[in-house]
Amino acid sequence: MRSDLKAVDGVRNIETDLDELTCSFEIDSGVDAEELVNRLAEKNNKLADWTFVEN
Amino acid sequence: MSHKSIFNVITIAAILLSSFSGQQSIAQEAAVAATPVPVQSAVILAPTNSRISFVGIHVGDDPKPRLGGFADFNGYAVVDPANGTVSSLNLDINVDSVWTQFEKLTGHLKNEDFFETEKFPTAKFASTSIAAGENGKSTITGNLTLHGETKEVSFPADVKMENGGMLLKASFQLDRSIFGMDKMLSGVDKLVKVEIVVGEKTAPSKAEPGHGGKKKKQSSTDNSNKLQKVSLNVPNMS
Repeated sequence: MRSDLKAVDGVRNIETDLDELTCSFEIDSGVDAEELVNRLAEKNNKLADWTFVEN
Repeated sequence: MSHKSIFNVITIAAILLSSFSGQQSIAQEAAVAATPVPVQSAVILAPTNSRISFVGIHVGDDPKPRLGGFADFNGYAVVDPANGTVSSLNLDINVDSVWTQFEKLTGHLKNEDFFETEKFPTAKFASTSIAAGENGKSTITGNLTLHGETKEVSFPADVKMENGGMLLKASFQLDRSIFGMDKMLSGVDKLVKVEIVVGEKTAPSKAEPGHGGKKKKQSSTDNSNKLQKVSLNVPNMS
């Protein structure tokens, strides 16, 4: 999953937390994060049931 | 004295001689079998005088070390006080007594991703040889049974006799994967630093709730410096 994210241009500062099962990263503000993650999830089933961390 | 009486005397004498000879033989055997037993001391090991702890780290740029240990174990070390050496080390560990700094992490370590404590409730170490070097430096070799697998391990230890008591400290890296504990290797390092200390009592850290991961309460999108921070829950990540 980390390598999938690393392969996307503009994705930086990837942090995964296997204790909490969360993943954080930074992308340009103009990028549609949801669309990006859905696109990655099509290729990597570890991302299949992802959700945004809620406030 | 009649022939019969003479015969009886001879018979009794023969029996007595035979009996004496037998006793002498037993006495000789006992004398031969007696071998002085070297004076050694067995030190009883328990959480009140010893500590078994470990530190696991995460894979990647941020290792986020996690301290843990076992609150319930018992064992013994055989010590030669005159030489200041240990000749045997044996430990039985109640794996379900595992503790960490975080409640949720402790529960996670007990499940099938790691120790599987319901299936493998005990771990055991039995030394097979201890090579004493200079200044208390020793190499302990033995069989470690963990997660249902028994493997030979060898690790260095410092042994000291002080004020009539024994001190031992061993610190080494253990590859959890060789014991079939091979889940989550992409996220949690297979090498775990283990410490066995005799002379320090077990004092588990007070566990905080959760796993100890960062509280990621950021907004899913945080527009600052033309960047957005994206935080995802990924339940299948492991």
